[in-house]
Formats: sequence, C-alpha cells, structure tokens
Amino acid sequence: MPTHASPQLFFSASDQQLHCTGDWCLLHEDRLHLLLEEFTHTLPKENIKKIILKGNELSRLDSVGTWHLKKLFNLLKSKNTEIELHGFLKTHEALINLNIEKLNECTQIPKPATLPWIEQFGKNTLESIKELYHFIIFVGEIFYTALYLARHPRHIQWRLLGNVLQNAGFYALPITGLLSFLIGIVLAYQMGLQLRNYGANVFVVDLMALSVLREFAPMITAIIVAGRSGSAFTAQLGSMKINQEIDALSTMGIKPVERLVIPRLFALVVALPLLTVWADALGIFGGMIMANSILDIKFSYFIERFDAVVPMRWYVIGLVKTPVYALLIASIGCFQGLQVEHNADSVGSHTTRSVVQAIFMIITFDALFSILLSWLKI
Amino acid sequence: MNEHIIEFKNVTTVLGNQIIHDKINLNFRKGEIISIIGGSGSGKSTLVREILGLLQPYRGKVSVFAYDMAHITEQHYLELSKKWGILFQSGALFSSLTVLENIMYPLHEYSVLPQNALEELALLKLLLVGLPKSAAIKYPSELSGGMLKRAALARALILDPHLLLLDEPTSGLDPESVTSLDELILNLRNLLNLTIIMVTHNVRTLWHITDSVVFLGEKRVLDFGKVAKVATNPHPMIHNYFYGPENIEKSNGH
Ligand SMILES: Nc1ncnc2c1ncn2[C@@H]1O[C@H](COP(=O)(O)OP(=O)(O)OP(=O)(O)O)[C@@H](O)[C@H]1O
Ligand SMILES: [Mg+2]
Repeated sequence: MPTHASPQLFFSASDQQLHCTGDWCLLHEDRLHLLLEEFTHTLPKENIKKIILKGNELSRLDSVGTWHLKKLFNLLKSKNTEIELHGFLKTHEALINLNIEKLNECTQIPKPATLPWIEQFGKNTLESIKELYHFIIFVGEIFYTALYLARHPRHIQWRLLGNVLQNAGFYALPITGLLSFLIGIVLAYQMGLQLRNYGANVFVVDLMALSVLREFAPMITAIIVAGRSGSAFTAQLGSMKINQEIDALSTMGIKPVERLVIPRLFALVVALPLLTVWADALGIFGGMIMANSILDIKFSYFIERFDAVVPMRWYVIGLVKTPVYALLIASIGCFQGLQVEHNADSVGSHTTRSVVQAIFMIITFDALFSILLSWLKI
Repeated sequence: MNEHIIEFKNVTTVLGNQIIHDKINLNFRKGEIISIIGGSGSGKSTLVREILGLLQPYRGKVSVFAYDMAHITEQHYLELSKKWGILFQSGALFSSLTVLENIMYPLHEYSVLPQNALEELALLKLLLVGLPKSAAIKYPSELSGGMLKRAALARALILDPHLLLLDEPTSGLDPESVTSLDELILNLRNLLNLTIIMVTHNVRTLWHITDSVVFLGEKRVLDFGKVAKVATNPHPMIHNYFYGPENIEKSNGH
C-alpha cells in the first residue's frame, strides 16, 4: 500500500541539489503551496547556474503536483537557472514533460466576451421586444390552429386534454376551495366589524356576494391555477425542448402548437370557470359561517336575502372573465416553455417568468375590465 | 494486500419487473484496462451504476476499494468520489456551466488552489482530450456529440482519479479520434497507474488497449478474460459479437 507522505522540498546549497520527496498531489496542495513560498524566500540572492532536481523519493505525483512543479520551474527560469531532472521514476518524468509543456500553453485562459453595460441594456431591451413579437406570432398561430382544429376535430388530442383537465382542474379543487373559503371568512369578518357599528348587519350578504362573486373568487382561482398549472406547462414544454422532443415532433410534420399547446389551452378554458363556480360557492359559504357567528345572521336568512338582493349579473360578470384568464395563463405558460433554451437554468427562469407574467396579466386584465364596466355603467 | 479494486459477489439486479443480472461474480484487478461488452440492453450501464452506488443490487454485494457499496458511510463515499472519475453514457455535463467550468467543477469542490490554477489545470485536461481551446467558453448545448464526450472525459480526469469508469467513451467519434482517445487512455493508465473500466462497442479498442474483457449476456457474465481468449469462446452470442458479418474483416488482422 502506498503510504501518504507529506511532500517536502529542500535545497542543499553545497551540491546545488533540490530534493522533492513525498506525495505531490491534490491531498497535500496547501502544503505544496507553503513549500513553494518558503523556497522562494530561502533561495539565495545570487544566480545559480544549474540546479539538479532530485526525484528519487517522490512517491506520488498528479496534475496538481505538476502544476506546482511548473511554478517552481518558472521561478527558476526567471532567474536564468537551468534545471535538470534526476532520479525521477519514468512515469513521473513522462507526466512532468507532458503536463508542463501543455500547462505553459494554458496560461491564457479564454474568457467569454462581456458587453459594456449600455450595450447589455440595449440587448436586453431588444430581447424583450423580440419576445413580445414572438408572443404575438404565437397567439396568431394558436388562433390559426384552433380554427383548423375546429374544422378537423379528428386531430384533437383528447387524451392530453383529459389529462390536463384532471391535473389542472380536478386536482386543484381542494386548494382553490380551501383558499376561497378562508378568504370568505376573512372578508365577512372585516366587513362585519364595520357594519355592526352602523347596525347594518344584513348588508354583509350584499357585500359578500359582490366581492366574492365579482372579484375574489375568479381572481384567487386564476392566481392559484397560474401558480399550479401555468408553471407546470412551462416546465413540461421546457424539458421537452431541452430533450429535443419538440424538434422531433416538428420533423414528423406535427405542429407543437397543435399537439401540445391547444389541448392545454382548451382544457384550462373549461377547467377555470368550473373551478371558479366551486370557489364562489365555498367563498360565500365561508362568509355565511362568519356572518352566523359574529353578526347573528342565520344561514336560512342569509340565503333568503342572497336570493332577494343579488342580481345574476354579478355572478355572470365574475364568470365571463375566467376564460380570458385561462387563455392568458395557458398561452403564457406554453409560450415560455417553448422559449426555453438548452440548459436547466433556463427552465427555472422561464417558469418564474411564466407565473409572474400570468399573474401580472390577470390583474391588469381585471383592472381594465373594471374600467370598461364602469364606462358602460354596469 | 487486496489487489481487487472492485468485487461483485453473487449480484442479482432487478429493474422494474425484469431481472437484469443473475448472480454475477466479478473481480477487477488494479491497474488494468477492463472492457465491458455485450449487446444493447445487456446491463452494462447498469453494472457501472452499481459500481458507483447509484443503484443497489437486489441481492449480493458490490465492493469498491473494499467498501461495501450497500452500507458505505457518507464520509467513505466522499473519499471514493475523490478517487474515481466517471464518464456517463450521455455525457451528463452541467448544462448551465461552460465547458471549462464543468471540467473545473470537481477540483473547485475539493481544492483551495487559486482560481487561475484551477483554470490552468482544467485547460490542461481540455487540451489533453483533444479539444480546441476555443471550446472552453462554450456551453454544452453548443458542442457537437463527439466534443461532448471529450469534455465529459476531461471532467472525469480532472482529479487524476485512481479508477476511471467510462461508459462508451468513443461512441459517436470519428475513427481517427477513436484511435487518439484509445492512445490517451492507454497512456493515462501507464502514467498514472489507473484502473480503467469501460463500456465499449468498439472492436478495435478491445484488441488494442484492453487487458481483459467482460462479456455480458443472458443476464450472466458469459466470459471474462483476455480478449484473445474471449474471442475464441464458441458461445453463439460471443461468436456473433466478434465474428458477426461486419466484424470479420476487422478482426482478421489478428
Ligand atoms: N430505470 C429502469 N427501470 C427499468 N428498467 C431499466 C431501467 N434502466 C434500465 N433498465 C433496463 O435494464 C436493461 C439494461 O440497461 P442498460 O442501460 O444497463 O443497458 P446497456 O447494456 O448499457 O445498453 P446500451 O449498450 O444500449 O447502453 C435494459 O433492458 C433496460 O430496459
Ligand atoms: Mg449503456
């Protein structure tokens, strides 16, 4: 068994011999570093013509060791000292010759070109514009393909569609329901505290219905689905892209949009309104429970009043927004997935983008929609 | 002294519902170049994964440097990971790092050398495996298949391992590169006294640089020994492997 001997380097001035002994390898790199430092200091001032490097007792040598030897050689060379290797094992000598020659070629390390900040800024801006441009093309392609599929329903991927419906819709029921329920409780509690001051307890029903049906349920559901399924779409398509699966599809003459995007889009357009109905119900239910406990409004009375004062319009306004949300989430999610480049980081950053952009668009659209309705006085 | 670097004792492997290896026994000696050959799907990569401890056999024992891979402690595994270098069949380079950073990665992990030393050493390995310097700043997705293999080999070599595991190092390379890579592997063994275990489909590599050959087939080790000996085995699978229609020409020279 080879023993692990700590490396040594000592210089005998009398016969101008430099002995390296022990293991010159990665394991002892810090020691090697110290040795070279020491040696630099102890080296006599006057120039030595020739040094004999003795390697009889060198037990192990690896690339890290040769790197240190190279440093030593270069140091001596800078003082015009000649070096002669002596007593090295054949293999060690071969390794030294091989590595040192190559290592001296390696001092210039190629560096990737970095752009000045202004150029980088310009480049990023252009990239964003290009992304927008590609997104518009993508939306056009979706439209075109959707029309094509409407005429050729045979090409619709029912299995994927069903899958997405299950994963993005059915499996999202517990979380959307729970969150909407909690929001209902919180809303009713806050409103109840205020309304009680004016003795206007019963109006909690109107307010709950208005806020949950028109705003909260659709919005919360859309945000959850963007986080759950929008990100999943991006990651799925992104890893397919990395794996060249998308390329494979294209070469078979199958359009990725037709095969991968439309089913997801369509499934989400179906699933999101349904989830919202569910969230509506549970949000109102949460409100009912809170109203019952702090405002003394019985369930039966709550429902009676709900029936009397809440116009169908509120419910419909809440629901018509959801297919648009679904389109936003699915198209952004799939688009970002297809934008993924060939590395793992890219999947991460595009998934982040997909969720952030989707939520941003959802809220922006909601605001625009509200403005539109206020103009129309609905 | 135990000269066996790797030992398989009655190893049975099951993947899915399928038996891949059935009671395999193997001993690999230090300092040898060993080739694992056999048809596609005969479990060569699986054997390599078992050596690495990435996969536990269903029954039996795999030991590497005398450590039982089923019960190895974290600390011992760390020790092993400094002693071996691996080239995976698909390269397995980190896609978000440049080639140079990829090669440097293990050294960066275990060493306190200054950055420029790390880069020089990485570049040394890059040149050693025959890549041009300009490849250093490229990302894996920007390399050709053959270049990927070389870059992955450079990464496997960066720690000067005692044990080198290569899963098809030369597949996807042009004949000339295969020859030069074979020479490199042989050279490394001679210089650093490495043990090299490789999976290969290249008959030339078998004849020129390997010391012994493991032939996997029918879930067993059909033969294990010197190439010349294995090649004369009358078993139909082995016979076809060496003297199948397209190989007759190549091996006639020997
Ligand atoms: N994760 C897994 N689950 C189930 N079966 C697997 C798994 N990985 C591999 N297999 C099966 O194990 C067998 C051996 O696979 P392995 O990758 O070891 O083959 P190989 O000999 O390396 O082939 P090749 O020369 O094509 O690389 C194959 O039949 C494969 O189907
Ligand atoms: Mg394999």
